[in-house]
Amino acid sequence: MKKRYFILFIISILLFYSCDKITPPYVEGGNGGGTNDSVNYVKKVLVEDFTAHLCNNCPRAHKTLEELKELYGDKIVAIGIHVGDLAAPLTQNYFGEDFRTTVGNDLDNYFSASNAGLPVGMVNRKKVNDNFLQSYSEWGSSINEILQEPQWLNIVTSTSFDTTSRKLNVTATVYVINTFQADSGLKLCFYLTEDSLIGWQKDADNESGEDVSNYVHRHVLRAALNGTWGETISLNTNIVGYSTSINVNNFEVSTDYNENHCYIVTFVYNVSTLEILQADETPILH
Amino acid sequence: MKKLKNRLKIFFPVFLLPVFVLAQKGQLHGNFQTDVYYYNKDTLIGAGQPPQKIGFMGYANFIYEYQNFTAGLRYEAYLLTPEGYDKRYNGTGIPYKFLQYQTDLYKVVVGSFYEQFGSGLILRSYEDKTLGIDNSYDGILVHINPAKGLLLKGLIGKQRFFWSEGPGIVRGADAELNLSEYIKLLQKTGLNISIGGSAVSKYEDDKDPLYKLPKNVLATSGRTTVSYKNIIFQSEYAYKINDPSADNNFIYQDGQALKFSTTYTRKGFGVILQAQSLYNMSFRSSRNANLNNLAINYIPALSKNHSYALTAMYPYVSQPNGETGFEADIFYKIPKKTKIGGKYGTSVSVNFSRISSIKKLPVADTINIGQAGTLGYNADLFSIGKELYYQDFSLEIYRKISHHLKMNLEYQNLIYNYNVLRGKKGHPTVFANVGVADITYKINSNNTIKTQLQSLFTCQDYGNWAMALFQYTLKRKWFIAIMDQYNYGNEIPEKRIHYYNLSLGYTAGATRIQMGYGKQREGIMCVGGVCRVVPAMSGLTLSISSSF
Amino acid sequence: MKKYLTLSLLVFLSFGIYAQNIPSLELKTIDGKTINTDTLNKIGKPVILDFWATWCVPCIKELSAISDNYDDWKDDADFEVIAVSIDDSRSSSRVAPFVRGRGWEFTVLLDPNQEFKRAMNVVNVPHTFLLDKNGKVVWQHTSYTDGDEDHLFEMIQKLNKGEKIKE
Repeated sequence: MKKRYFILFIISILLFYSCDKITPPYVEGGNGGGTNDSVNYVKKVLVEDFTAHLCNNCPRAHKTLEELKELYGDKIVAIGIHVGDLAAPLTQNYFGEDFRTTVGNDLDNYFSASNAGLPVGMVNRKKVNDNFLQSYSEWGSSINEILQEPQWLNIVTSTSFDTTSRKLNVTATVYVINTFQADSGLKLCFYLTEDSLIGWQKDADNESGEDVSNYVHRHVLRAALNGTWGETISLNTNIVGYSTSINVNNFEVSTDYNENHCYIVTFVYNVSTLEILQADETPILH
Repeated sequence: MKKLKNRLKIFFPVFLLPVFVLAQKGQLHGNFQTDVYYYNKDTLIGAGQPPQKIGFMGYANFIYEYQNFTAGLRYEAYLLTPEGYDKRYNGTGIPYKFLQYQTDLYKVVVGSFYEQFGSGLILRSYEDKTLGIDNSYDGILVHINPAKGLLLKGLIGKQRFFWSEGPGIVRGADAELNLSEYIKLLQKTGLNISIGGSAVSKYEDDKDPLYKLPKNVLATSGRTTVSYKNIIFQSEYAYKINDPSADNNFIYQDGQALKFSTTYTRKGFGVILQAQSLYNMSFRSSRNANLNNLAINYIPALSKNHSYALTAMYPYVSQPNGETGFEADIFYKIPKKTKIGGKYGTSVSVNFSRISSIKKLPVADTINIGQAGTLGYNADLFSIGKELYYQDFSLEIYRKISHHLKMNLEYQNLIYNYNVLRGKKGHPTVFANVGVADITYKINSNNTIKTQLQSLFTCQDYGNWAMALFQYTLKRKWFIAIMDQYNYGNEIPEKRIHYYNLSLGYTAGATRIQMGYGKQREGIMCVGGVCRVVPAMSGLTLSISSSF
Repeated sequence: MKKYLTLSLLVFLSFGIYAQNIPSLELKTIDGKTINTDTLNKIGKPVILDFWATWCVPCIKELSAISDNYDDWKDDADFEVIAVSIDDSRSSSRVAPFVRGRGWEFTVLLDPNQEFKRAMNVVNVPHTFLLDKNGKVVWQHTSYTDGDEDHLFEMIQKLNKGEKIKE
């Protein structure tokens, strides 16, 4: 009687015994860019990376985001939002840059990012397990899942920039690709980002010391052209092909920003869930 | 309305009857605790006031036993979570509920349960409200006792994650055999041998596009305890296959841990030597979890658990990514009625522990140590790396001087690697010397006074501290205490603050009510090597607890 | 309506009147032997069941006080002391040398995952239970002040005489 239990137990242990030993290479082959997109619209996902120059673990998130961009190509639109006490400048020659913005602070206050601990981010502001915020190691699987959903909207953005007056005009046309419900309506945001800003960054993984003085800051959020939360657009989401246009005129781009590295990130989101339906990125200079 | 009342008159006693009958036959007991905080803003010490001004945490446990059957549940309410605890606890609910059936041969639990295999190196699920940790399982647990001295365990479940569950499924099995209870020959010689082994596997789906992540991660361990007369020898070894996670920066190296201890005791004397080495042994049921969430295993800190405020100011936090440590303890009671021992004898204890990083060697010239998406590094158990994490020497003397007066003295010398143990950078290693005098004077059977004087000397961090505590206990039920921690050695004069605290309390039976007012410095609170950062606080605290 | 509420409250409270038995759990002693806690129901004399830890100063004071009086008390009364250490695996190996080094002679059990502590609904240590000779909990107390041990001894003597304990 007792012997039987013992044998049963051993068998059940063997059934539990399972493991996946992975042999190199550890990195996936990837299916980024260059696939058979015979139509000229592409589903694009917005990744917002809350970061700061004094945050020594943030470079890990930056590296992950760059790897994902390499994998997915233009399917990812990325923004780095510098927030919190760790983004405050120290002295003029040592961590002197200040990449904080009104729009960044608004987003930080609403989503409680710096409270949760940097680095942290959002993918299409879509809630996972009831949370907007996700650690950088989770962004890849979220992007993967979202890209398997249908493309709801397409956004085509056009910009015209006058280098003398530094005035910028932006127009975006939004098309319905697949129908969906948005009972409280949709809003559209125009964010201005600047890429390749050289400055200081603390990097815990840097072999020669934590303080890096010539770090390349990517896609830094600089301003919101039409408010942190954007403007309402009227779109009949039940009709495929329905489109609407919205524009912002005479936005003055600060002389501190290098227009050659500036981009407009456009995205449309569902007002009731805050979830972003489509994103787009266009340089201000062509 | 009258019809309803009449109906109630009939139904109510009928409803109560089976409940009353069951109550006669079974037994119901439980406990509860509530902590209420009122926060004052104090910018000088860094204490904030949340918008709701009041932090509240409360829970109640109920357990009902009837013959072989046990049922229990716990209700928890965080309205809103007190400062320093994770805000994801906000809300109320019943996160812990179980049914259990037990006979001499087996025990089965369905619902929520806690469990530990061996010393917890590959599986330990427990809860500690002061730390805010609860990694209970929701699933099924089975214990089988097929023969004397043989205990088999099996479990499967998902772990608690605030008000929901982690993504991973954990499956585990453990067997422990006490050979001496099984083999009569061993019993005669006085040699006691027991061996045990466990296997724990977790399943978590891989949707990550960047890495090929293992969906099933297996950890195994073996342990043995041998005791003969006054000597005990214990050891445990654990091995975990590749488990890339946020904790280890997604490296593919295996994990290993080895700990052993030797103890010799006789009446009035005890000595224990322990050694522990491990690397890459963080094991969670979610690859992306951090802080104290969803841990499957438990790495104990190989250092003394200090009991006084200033000796516990710089505690060691276990480093699952790699550490090698040694610890030694000697306990001796100088016999009573001797010159040194005094009338009642004197207890002396000495503790020494030293923990360093483990030596990590690169896998290849082109790969940095710890680089994501690679093997990471190579390491050998018990190799000693360049960084000293912690060294602690303490001497404790306890003496009952007379029928009225008892005294406990402690001296501590400490080396504390602030950067590694607090997860920050730019702080120098702390070298500190601490002295404690804890004196209790019993005036008579109804009145006792306790005095505690503590002093910490250091040139780093906040500098020197001094602490004084006076507590008066009346009728062994009421107490009033006044305490002050003074940071007189702070480099910044404005920060030389008195953290004073006044508290009142009442204890009767298993009920304790305590109220305190004052300031509390920011610090770190650890149980076993698992820690929680405690923010600075100024305000009122009320705590009520009881068991029934 | 009020009558029924009172009645149900009384029924609920009556649960408390029925004294608690000790649940059945397998724990190890510091000698490495395995003991089932339901044997505490069958000891046949009053038991002091004391939950403590090596890092808990008042717990050590209480057990030291009991140990100092142990021999004298054993001469005058019939009882057992079972001290349950809730030290987890960080300090559970230190319990044996600690206890022996202090010269404590009573039985010490190890509860490294606090199973027994949870099953007995202990909130904080020190927490002491007094069991009568049938293993029923007749008294329990949390925290320790000098002199509590004398009160404990009085109650043991009462139990030996067959008297009942009031809080």
